[in-house]
Amino acid sequence: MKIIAIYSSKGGVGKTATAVNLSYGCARSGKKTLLCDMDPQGAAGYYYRIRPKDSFNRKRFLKGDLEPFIRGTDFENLDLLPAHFSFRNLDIALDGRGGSANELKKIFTCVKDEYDVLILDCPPNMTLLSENIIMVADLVLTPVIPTTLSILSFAQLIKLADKLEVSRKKLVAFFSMVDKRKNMHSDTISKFGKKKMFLASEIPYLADVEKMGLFRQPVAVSVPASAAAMAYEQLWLEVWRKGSQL
Amino acid sequence: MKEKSVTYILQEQTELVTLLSGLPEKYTLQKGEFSVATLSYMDTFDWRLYDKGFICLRQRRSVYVLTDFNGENIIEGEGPAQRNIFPLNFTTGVLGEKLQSVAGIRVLLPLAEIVRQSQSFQIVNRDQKVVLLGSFELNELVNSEGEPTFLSGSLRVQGVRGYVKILTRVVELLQSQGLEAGYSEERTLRLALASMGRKPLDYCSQFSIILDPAEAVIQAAQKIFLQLLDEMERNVPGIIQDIDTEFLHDFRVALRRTRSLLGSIKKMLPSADVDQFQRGLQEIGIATGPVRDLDVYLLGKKGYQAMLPEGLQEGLTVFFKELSRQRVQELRRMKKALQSRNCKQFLRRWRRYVEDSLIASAYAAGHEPCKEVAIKAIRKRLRSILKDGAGITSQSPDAALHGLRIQAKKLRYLLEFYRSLFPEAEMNSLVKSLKKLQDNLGSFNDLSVQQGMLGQHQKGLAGGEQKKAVQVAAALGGLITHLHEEQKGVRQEFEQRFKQFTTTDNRRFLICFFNEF
Ligand SMILES: Nc1ncnc2c1ncn2[C@@H]1O[C@H](COP(=O)(O)OP(=O)(O)O)[C@@H](O)[C@H]1O
Ligand SMILES: [Mg+2]
Repeated sequence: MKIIAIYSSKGGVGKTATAVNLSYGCARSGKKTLLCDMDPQGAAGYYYRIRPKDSFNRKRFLKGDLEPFIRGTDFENLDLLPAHFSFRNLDIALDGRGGSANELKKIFTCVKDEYDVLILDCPPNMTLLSENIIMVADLVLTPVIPTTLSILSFAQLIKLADKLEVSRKKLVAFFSMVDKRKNMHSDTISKFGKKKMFLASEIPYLADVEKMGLFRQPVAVSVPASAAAMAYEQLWLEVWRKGSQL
Repeated sequence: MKEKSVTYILQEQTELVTLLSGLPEKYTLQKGEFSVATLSYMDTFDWRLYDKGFICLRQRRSVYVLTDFNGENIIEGEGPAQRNIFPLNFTTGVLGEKLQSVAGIRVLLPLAEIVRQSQSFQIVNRDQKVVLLGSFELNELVNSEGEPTFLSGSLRVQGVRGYVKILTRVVELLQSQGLEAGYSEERTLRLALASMGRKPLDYCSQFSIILDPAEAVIQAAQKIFLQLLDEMERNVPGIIQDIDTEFLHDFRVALRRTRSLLGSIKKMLPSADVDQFQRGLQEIGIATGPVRDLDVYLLGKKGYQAMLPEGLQEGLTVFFKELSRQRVQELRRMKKALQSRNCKQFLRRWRRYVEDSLIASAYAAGHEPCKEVAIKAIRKRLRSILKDGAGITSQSPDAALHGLRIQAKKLRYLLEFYRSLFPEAEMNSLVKSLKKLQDNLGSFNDLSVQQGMLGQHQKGLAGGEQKKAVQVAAALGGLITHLHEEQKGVRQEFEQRFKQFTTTDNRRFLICFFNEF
């Protein structure tokens, strides 16, 4: 099972939009896919119209007791583990277990035989949970809005990876919510886009992505063949190619 | 996302909304695709697909699906568009391979036609999230006036992972209406066949009959003769239409069994009767022989090709073309013979004799209990095989092996006729080891017959196109050499095989089992 974490320490950069649409593309390509919503806000679950079961909580999650709480999406090959409100304290709880950066790995062993790909929609922070995510993931995919501030926070991630002695090759970024009419965007892309860590695919700022909250479906389903659907399809193909090279 | 599915059988015409009208309020039924299609169930004459738990449906002219008895685990594919289809003519794909492995050299025939309406549906919760999937099916028979009548129906429900509650609710709902789970596709096939007075597995080429140990042997013989005659008659249409080679094969096996049984009880009947019918049966055997022989060669084409190097293949191709041409002629001759008044009258006479006169004509010996007669006949045959076989050395003439082969075949028929009278385990082991011996003797015989036939062809090659004749002669020469070598090997194996036959449980069978009586 390959684990792809959609991670950024910043909020509102398009992580959930990416996780939702990539997981759909992944499942469509025939791979048994589990999307795991780690963000207590539960946005990924919302887009797939899936609520967590009443009996689910952080304790269950930390025990690796995931199986009974996974739910099928409306799409072939794609299941989702919804987040629970109690996930907001996942950090503290992980710390309580000795502060190891390898806890998540243990938690996910129970699903590793059933799925080909596990996609993590991560909450925005830089804590012990982030360290765990970086350790467990085969690929850490970071949406970067083409602004100086976003670039800086990606640089922080690289530092963290170095600290954890994790290969930098795992870290992959792409430009998200790109608006070419903004000088700052085109300047940033021309300055950093050539860097090896950045994928060629970009996700433009598109109304169809914004409207996902209305349709509660991946864009490839609500507006098939739209620019948004194609952009995510493109991104998925490139991510998968990159992941296979690792 | 898919969970296990359950299929419920609908005994009568109903509507989906009616069945699901008791859903809790927070759920909504949404209908999906609807389709109407005319479907044909396909299987071989001897039910090879059904026998292995498969059902094949022709959906459109050339689209086929293979399913299990529940209509699931579907393999779909394109195939030929003819009415009857050879699995071998599916050139590509998983479906073709599967059909070939199950149906072998037999043709798939349309058995029954139905009209199917399918409605897919889903149930969603308040978030409009799909929490259950399903399909609703109604099958109708359509008569020649185009009027449909309800045949069967089914409702399949499939849960979604993590949404067990609704599935449980729907299952309760359906059960409360008296619906039961079942194998929907198999049931529909069965009902469609029943409407035509048929049922699955109503033909089987493996001979099997249940006899009463105490009944008179002539009565047992009557039952066996009638069953064999039925088998012959049922294969005639397929032979005449030349659907596949196995109709003729089964026909001839039934014919040989008939002759063998008649031979084994000939002393119980007036010799004039026996002679008359043996002659008639033999004539049918002769009339149907050449086509069968040619079929055997043509079916073995791949094997022959493998025996020869590249350089001799062209001659072989010419030779096989010639065989196909001969088969056309022989087929015509055979059809004429089988459809002749003579032949039809003979078979009718034979039936009347078996039904009305056989028992009355039998002498006292024919009224002995069949089990006793069976014991005597099997023991005698088994003993003489053991004796003759033991006398065969590497110096013995080929004829000695041919003689033993015929004896073994006769024993085999006896065992098949009387199988039900003996304990199954002992019988199975005897048949199994006899089969191994027969394989050896059969191969030996086949190989010498083939060499003889090829030699005949070689001699007959004179004239015609010189170059072609030379090519064919070379190919045939190559084959003969190869077959001769193979035959030597088979011959060498004989002693070993025979020893196995004598040292296995058969002596025990002979001594322990028959001496009880
Ligand atoms: N490419 C895009 N174009 C337009 N709006 C986007 C795009 N990507 C995300 N959004 C919108 O931006 C907001 C934040 O996106 P989200 O994916 O939830 O970010 P994160 O998970 O990083 O917090 C959401 O309202 C979302 O609909
Ligand atoms: Mg998010």
